[in-house]
Amino acid sequence: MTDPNVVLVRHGETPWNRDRRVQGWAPIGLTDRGREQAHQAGRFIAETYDIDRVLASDIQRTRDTTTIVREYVSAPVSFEAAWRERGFGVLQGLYYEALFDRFPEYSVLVNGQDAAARRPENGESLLETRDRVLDGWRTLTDGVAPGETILVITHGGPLYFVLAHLRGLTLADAIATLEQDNCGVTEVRVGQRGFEVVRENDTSWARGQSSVG
Amino acid sequence: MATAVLLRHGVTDWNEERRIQGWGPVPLNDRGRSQARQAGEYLAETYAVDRIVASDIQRTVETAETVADSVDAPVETTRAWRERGFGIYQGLLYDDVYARHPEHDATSGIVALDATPETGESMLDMQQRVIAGWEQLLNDVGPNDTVVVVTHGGPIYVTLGHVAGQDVVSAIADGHQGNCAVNVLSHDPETGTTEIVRENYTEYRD
Repeated sequence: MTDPNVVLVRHGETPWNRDRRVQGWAPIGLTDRGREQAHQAGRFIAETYDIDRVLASDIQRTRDTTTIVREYVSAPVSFEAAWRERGFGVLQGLYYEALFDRFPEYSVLVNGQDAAARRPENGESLLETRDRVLDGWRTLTDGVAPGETILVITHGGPLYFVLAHLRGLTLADAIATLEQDNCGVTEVRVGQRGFEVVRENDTSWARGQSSVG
Repeated sequence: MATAVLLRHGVTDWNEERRIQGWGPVPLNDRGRSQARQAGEYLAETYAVDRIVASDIQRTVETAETVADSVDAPVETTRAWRERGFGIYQGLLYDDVYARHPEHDATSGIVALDATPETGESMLDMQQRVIAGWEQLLNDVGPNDTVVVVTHGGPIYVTLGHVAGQDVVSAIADGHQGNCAVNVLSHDPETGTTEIVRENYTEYRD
């Protein structure tokens, strides 16, 4: 029996990704380009893996991505709040640039641990979000069956938290060095002796595809 | 007679884009700052203002501080006069949200009043919070005081509706307030009666 795998994918592009607005839990749909990304990623995942079940964040952009991916991947889905992006509370909708310019107290690159622990009103701190996501990750990897392949459809933040956890990176280093593109595919093998990241932010599904955007 | 002047904040980029602001810290734009300056000058010429009470959200705090440059009175901030908290809908366009979720449009009927967006408030939550703040204000106000309240569209609609004995749905559906619009209410502490003297007044500015 082969080792179980977890395949993680970020949602497709949204208008707020394009505008660089802070989305958090906002119910924003995908752009035409985002839908095309989800179709291409869905085909790639269906060709590359034998997916047994799908877990997805219950926010609109991951729900919409999941609907498209499941046109290619026939596996049951459950939507879970554990895989949501950070809740940005009252900062939702601002431009990222304006947010970190006007409120540097939220930038871990500028203010380190203080910024990681700071919670926007009605939102979550980075540390709270990380704990929520890693609880979801542990529940998932503790419950995975031998030979099983699970697809997780989530957001940039949770992908950073999982990768930082697996590699022992600080949040600041993870945010400064990692990249997650829309519908980028990451694969983690759950081995007897630990986890191995065997694919990271793979967007090779887009190769030679230039029909959109 | 005590006087309460309810002033809506100056215009922001999100007002111009018709984006739901809720509690978002969106600053005034250049036009909004100029509106706030003119409102301050008008209020300073027209009233002997004793106190300024402002919602503690960025656009009302900025407006109140600008008004206080002309009106020599201290500014106190409070949550009571905040706009409705729109939770996860903050930042979306009003037209998109109401098209997809008519239950959040209070003008669509009474049922919408208690629809609560995740991490936000229902219309009724907002109305109860604001009216509690209004009653507190009337309770605290000296018999001849003039208090300027710098707040948002929603709280002004529900306060005027409350004083006029209008139901909440019509107050919100029929309400209109320009940016930095002035509303004047006169309160007789002896009899406890309140009268609306002026509504949505913006003609003071050039």
